[in-house]
Amino acid sequence: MELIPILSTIILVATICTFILAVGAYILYKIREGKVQQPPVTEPANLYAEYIVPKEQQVKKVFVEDVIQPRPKKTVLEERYKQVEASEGNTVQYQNFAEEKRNEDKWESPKQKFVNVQSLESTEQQNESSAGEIKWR
Amino acid sequence: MCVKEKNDKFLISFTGKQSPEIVNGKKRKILRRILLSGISSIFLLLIIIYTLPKTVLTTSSLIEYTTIVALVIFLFILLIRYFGILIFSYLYMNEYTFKSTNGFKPFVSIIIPVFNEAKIIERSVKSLMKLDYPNYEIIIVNDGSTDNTKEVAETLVGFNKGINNKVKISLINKPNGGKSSALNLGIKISNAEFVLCMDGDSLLTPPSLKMAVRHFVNPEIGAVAGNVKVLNRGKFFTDLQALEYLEGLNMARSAQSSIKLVNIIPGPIGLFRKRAIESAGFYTSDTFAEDADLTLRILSKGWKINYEPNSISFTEAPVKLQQLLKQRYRWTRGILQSIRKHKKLMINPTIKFSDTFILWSMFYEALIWPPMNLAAHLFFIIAALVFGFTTLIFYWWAGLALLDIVAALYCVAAEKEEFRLIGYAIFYRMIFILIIDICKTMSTIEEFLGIKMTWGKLERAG
Repeated sequence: MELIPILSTIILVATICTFILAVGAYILYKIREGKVQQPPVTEPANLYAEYIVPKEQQVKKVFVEDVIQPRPKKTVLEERYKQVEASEGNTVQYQNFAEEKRNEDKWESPKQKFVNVQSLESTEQQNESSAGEIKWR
Repeated sequence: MCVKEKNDKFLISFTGKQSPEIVNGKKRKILRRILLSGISSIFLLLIIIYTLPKTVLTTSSLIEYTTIVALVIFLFILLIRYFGILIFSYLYMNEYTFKSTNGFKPFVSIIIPVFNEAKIIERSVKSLMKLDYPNYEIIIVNDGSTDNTKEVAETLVGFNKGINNKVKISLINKPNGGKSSALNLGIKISNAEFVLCMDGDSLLTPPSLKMAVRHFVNPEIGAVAGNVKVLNRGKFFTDLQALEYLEGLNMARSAQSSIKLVNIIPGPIGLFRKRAIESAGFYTSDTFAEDADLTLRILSKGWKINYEPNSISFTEAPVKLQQLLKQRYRWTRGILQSIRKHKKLMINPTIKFSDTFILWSMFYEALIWPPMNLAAHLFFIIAALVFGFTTLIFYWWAGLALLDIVAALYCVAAEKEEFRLIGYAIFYRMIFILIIDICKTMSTIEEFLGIKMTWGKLERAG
C-alpha cells in the first residue's frame, strides 16, 4: 500500500477527532462555567488600601538650606494669633494658642499617613497637579 | 529577607471605579442582532438565486467555483501573511541588534498585581532581584487575595539585595477590584518615569529591564512589549503553546515593531512611559483584554510601541484543555471588545491611518481567519468523506506543515530557543490551531450575541 493514502487517512481521522474533541471540550467548558456564575463585582466610590513601605535605611535627608538658615515655620494659627495680639494684646490668647498648637500637633501626626490618591481616571490636569504631591513622609 | 517592624504603613484612599458590566445581555438587543444578520443572509441568498439563471453557471458549478476561489484566496492570504511577517520580523531583528544606549538608566517601578498567588509571588520577586539594572523598585499590589498572599508579600517588603544595589520592595493591600484597578493603583503610587507591568506568576530574565529601557531614548516610544515564553514545558500541550508563543505571537510582534506599531503589549511584561499611560487614560475594566485596550489607546494618542525580544518573561501556560479554552475565550472576547471600543478609528482611516491598519489586522486575526481556517478544514473533510478525495487533505496538511516548519526554524534560530520545538510544527496546524480556531469562532459568536462572561483564573502549579 502506498504511503500517501495511509498518511491521508491518518490526517483525516486526526482532523475529525480534533474537531469533535474541541467542540466537545468547548461545550463542557461552557457547562462548567455556567454552573460557577459569580455576581459582578461592584466597588464603592471610595476605597482604602494599605501601603506598606520599608523605612529608609538610616539615611536622614538634611537640607543644607535649613542648616544654614533655619526658617521658623509659619502656621495659620500663628498668623491668627498675631492678628489677635495686635487687636487685643492679652496673654491669655497666647496661652490658648500654645495649647491649641500642642493639640494640633498631637492629632496631626497620624493624619499625615492618610494620603488621598484621587480618581484613577486620567486627566492631564489632575496628573500635573498631583505630580510630586505624593510624599509619604 | 527583611524585618517586618522596619516597615511604614500608610492608608491610601482612592476612587474605586464602578466596574461596568461588560455583558450586554439584553434579550432584545440579541434578538435584533440575530434578526438583522438572518435577514441580510436571506437577502444575499435571494440575490444569488435570482441572478444565477441569468448566468452560464449551474448550482453545482457555482458551489465548485466558489470553493476553489475561496481556497485560493485563503492560500493567498496565508502566504502573504506568513512571508510578510517573516520578512518584517527579519528586518526588525537586524535593526535593533546594532543599537545600544549606554548611560540611559532612568528609575523604573515594577508593578506586580497579585490575586491568590501566594505559591509563586516569592519566586517572581526573586527573579526581579536578579535584574541587571541599577535603578528600580518593586511595588506589589495585592488585589484582595483570599489566600495567604498578603502574609507572604509582607515578608518580602524591605530593601533587598539586588545585583547592582539594594532594591526597595513595597506592598499595597487593596480590596479586590480586578487586575486593571490593581495596576492603576500601583502606577499612581509610583514616582518613576517608567513603569514595568507584569503578572504575579511571571519570571523575568536578568537583562529584561536593561534591554527594554534602551528603546525609550527615542521620545516617541510610549511603551515596549516584552517577549513572553512558556515556563512549564515538557508536556505535549505546553510545548505546543511554547511554539505558538514563538511563531504566532512573538514573530508577529517583531514584524509589527518594524513599523513601531505593536498592537498588544502582553500582560506578563510591558514597559511603559508613565506619561503615555496617563495620556491614554490608564487601564480600564470595560474589556476582558485590558492590555490590548490600553495598547490601542496609547497608539491612538500618537505614541509608538516597540517590541524587545531580549526582555523575556517566562509565564505558566495552561496545562489542561479546559484551562486553555478558558484563556483563549477571554482573549478573543477581550480583543473583540477592544476593537469595538475603537471602531471609529477602524471605520475612518482619515483619523489615523496606522490605527485603522492595526485594527483591521486585529479584526482579521480574531474574526476572519479562524472561521476561514475551519471552513477550509471542513471542506477537506467533506471532500474526503463524501467525494472520496482523501489525498487532498494530505497535500493541504503537508503544505501548511512545511510553512510552519520554516517559520519555526527561523524563530528558534532568532531567539536561540530549544531545537526540539520544531518537531511540534508538524502537529501545530492540524491539532493545536484547529482547537484554538474553534474556540475563537465560538467566542466570536458569543460576543456577537452578547452572552454573559466572567473572568477566569488559571490554576497555578506553584
